[in-house]
Amino acid sequence: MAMAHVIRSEWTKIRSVASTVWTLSAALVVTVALGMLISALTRREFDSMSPRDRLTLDPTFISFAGMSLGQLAMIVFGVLVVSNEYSTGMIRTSLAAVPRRATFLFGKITVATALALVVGMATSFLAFFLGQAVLGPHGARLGDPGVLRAVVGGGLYMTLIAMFSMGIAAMLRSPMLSLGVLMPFFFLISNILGNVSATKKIGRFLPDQAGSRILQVVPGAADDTPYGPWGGLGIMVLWVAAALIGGYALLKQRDA
Amino acid sequence: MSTPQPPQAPPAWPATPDSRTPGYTSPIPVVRTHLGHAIASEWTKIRSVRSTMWTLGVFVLLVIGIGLGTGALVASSSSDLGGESPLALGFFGLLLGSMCVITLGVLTTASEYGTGMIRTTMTACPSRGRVLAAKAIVFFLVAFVVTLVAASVVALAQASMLENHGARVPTGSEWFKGTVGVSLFIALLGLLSLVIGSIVRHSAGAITIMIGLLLAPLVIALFMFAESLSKVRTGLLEYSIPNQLSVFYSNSLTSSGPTGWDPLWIALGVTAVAFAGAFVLLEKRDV
Amino acid sequence: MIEAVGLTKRYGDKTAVYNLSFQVRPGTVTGFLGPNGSGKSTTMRMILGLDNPTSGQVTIGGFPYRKLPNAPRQVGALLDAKAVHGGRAARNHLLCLAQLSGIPARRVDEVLGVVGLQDVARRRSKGFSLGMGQRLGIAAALLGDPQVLLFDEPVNGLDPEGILWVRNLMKSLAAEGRTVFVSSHLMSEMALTADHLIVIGRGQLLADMSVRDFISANSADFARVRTPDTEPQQREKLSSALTEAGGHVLPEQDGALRVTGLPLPRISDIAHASDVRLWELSPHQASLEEAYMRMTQGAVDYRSTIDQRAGLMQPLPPGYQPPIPVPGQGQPGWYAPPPPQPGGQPFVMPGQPGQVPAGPYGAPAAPAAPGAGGPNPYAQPASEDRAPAGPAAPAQPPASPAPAADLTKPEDAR
Repeated sequence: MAMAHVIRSEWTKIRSVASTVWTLSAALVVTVALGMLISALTRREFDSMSPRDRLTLDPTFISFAGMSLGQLAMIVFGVLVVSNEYSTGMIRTSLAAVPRRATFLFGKITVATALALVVGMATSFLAFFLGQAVLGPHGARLGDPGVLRAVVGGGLYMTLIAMFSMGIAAMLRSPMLSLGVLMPFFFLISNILGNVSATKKIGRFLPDQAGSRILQVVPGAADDTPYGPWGGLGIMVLWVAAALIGGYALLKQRDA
Repeated sequence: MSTPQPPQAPPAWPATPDSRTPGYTSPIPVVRTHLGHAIASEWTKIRSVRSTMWTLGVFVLLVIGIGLGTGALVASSSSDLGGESPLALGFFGLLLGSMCVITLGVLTTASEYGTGMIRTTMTACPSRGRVLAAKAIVFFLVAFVVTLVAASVVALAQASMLENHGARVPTGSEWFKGTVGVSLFIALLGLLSLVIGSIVRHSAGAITIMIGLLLAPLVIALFMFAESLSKVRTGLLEYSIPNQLSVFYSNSLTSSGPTGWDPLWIALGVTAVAFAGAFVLLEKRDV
Repeated sequence: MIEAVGLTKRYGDKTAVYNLSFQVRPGTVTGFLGPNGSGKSTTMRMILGLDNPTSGQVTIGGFPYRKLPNAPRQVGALLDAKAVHGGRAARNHLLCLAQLSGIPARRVDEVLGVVGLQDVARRRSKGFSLGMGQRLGIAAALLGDPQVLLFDEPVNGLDPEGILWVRNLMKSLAAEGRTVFVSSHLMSEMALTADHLIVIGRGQLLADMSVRDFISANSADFARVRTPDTEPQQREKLSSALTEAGGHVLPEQDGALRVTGLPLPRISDIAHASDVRLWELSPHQASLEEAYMRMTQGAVDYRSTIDQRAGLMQPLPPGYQPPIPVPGQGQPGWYAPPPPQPGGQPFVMPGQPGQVPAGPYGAPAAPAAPGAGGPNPYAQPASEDRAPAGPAAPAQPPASPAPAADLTKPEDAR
């Protein structure tokens, strides 16, 4: 069976379930709305900021404020795309139709990733433009140094988060278990490890901590991260690759 | 064991039986059911699935593991707690563990919709409110007892580990808040998840909503750098669930905001409102 | 005793059940028939108070389900064998239901014995086969030893032994004076189990009568008459003679004639009088299945079409003969010899005026003749080649194909 057929069939699957629409639109709406909200608050308060705050103000990053919550929906999307096959028993039908499991898994992930990339990019650009519009005179322009990188990076970041979740879900199979692992990981463990001084050195190599470096245009004052924006994204890509390979290895050897 | 349809007298029913005559009377006595029956049923349900064991097992592991871990870390380092209450170290384990309670709460209601079991349940008990109430009671008690045990173990261990590290001896009311108080709060948080699960009817969706609720205020506050935004920011921080939890250990992130037992009343109010909403929806919607 | 009055359910702008009124009496097994999507399950759900009717009401023993005191002791239901939490052991599943209605726990072991699941009682129902799941669902329905029982497709997935068991169970339950309401697709099963039938189509009542009445009202016992294939004009001649004598003649796909309204000896006499030889003169009696198929013809929502593989086929290699289509596939009215007399159709589909009455002459009734492949475009070129070989192919009389083709189209087009 050719990859193209698998991809077409996965595309049909993915667009015909409600959870795809729900999660992806939630990711977009939450990210953009929250970014606009924070941008509006920042603009209102700009005049009363201290000069130091004004200098380190990163308008691009502020418009991405919603991404930290919007990625929650991306995680759910990634998890459900893969684990729905298991929870509905569809996996048996799917693997009967596509016995080559690598073709099946990577066909599915390709389609879901492409969709996540489109939505992620749209979210990132929309969040940026609307956020900057709200910020008004304090906003950044796409032509400013580093800004385009950050905006494109935002779309890539959301896509990679979804891919990482797909890999984890392929390993764990159960949607509840996957969410139960991913959510505390991204929202508590990673944040705690990344912000507590003792563990900061390890924490910043976690996928979301490293990947979100690309969103910043104006680095913080006390920035001593050992990697640049693209380096951070590279670290995240390694995490994603590890998760996907793990997912494939398990899918290949176990019974459906 | 007698068979349920004992060979009875040959049916003497006329070809067109009178529709008014009750056709068959069961030999098993019919009792008037009440909430107690539903509670017994929900207790059977919650103890007979593995997800309960898993979520609660991981919960206890997290609370006790992280609690003892931080306790040992502080005890082995030379740092001095400087007159802090040693109970506060239980906070991290409980915060992480609350995810498990949230998951169990959501699954208690939403998994019935996922599996279709809800139709069987609602056929066996047409008073839908009673089922929801029974679920809430059983879940709340389970979550409360398990949290209380785990939190007490951690509190006792930490208090004894850190006695010689500058921690002060907690007062009776601190003990009470650090064990019973947090347990009530965590159980209420789980109860809110259960109610959200009943409203949303989708496990993953409900868990996402609850986690968003848990984290959104912190995330939003994180981006409010500006000094003048500090009012909104502190407000968000103060009323975020993690901070409300820490209030029970009297080490809130901020000096203002909820104090004492306030978080419990807030959680109680929110849960009550959500419960009423879920109740109305349950009665009104098709199963 | 279940009583529905003007029961109506709409989901959005789709009407699932419309103005349904019927009674289900104790002491008999009442069958509930209807094509897929005709509203059977919705009706069952409304009986059980799971869905609220948009209008009308349904009561059990005079009460709406949700007002019944201790409902599970009065009504037991198998709605969906999959409506269990797969992670829970069979016994615990039944135990929690028993506790909910105050039934002693030893009753759980009783019903597990009744359905034959005692050996797997402590296994999680996730690993159950379809038949085992069905038995678990039946156990749940029997748990309260109720006087009213509802079963939605109870024999789904059961093996022949299980089907026999369910059949006898239903009968014995009814014989004890209980009200037993069973939906099923298996007509042969219904014919053996049910005493009374309620038939719905597109959410509306089509019939409410005993099985015997149903068959006789809807069956079209007919005679199949075959004239020599080699002399088509004899067929014409006999057709007109029979019609003149008051019979109704319907050409079949393979060239035979389907005659109604005339007894067999009379047909023989007419043939003899018009000097037509007969190759076949056979009586044909309708089954419940045929009666049902004819009645619900206009009420089927999901009709199969012929698998034409249109546009997906490679050009046929020379000499290749496509497989002969199985007669009946995708042909509306395949089962249903239409009622000959306009008055013979007691149930005209509401909202479908003309549909069913039109059916009679439109049904390209294709009995088990292998050559019947008219509507399949891929079969045509080849079957033309083969035509002389098959006994049936050339026999389309000039008059009949047109209506046959015309009238099937609207049904397919729906």
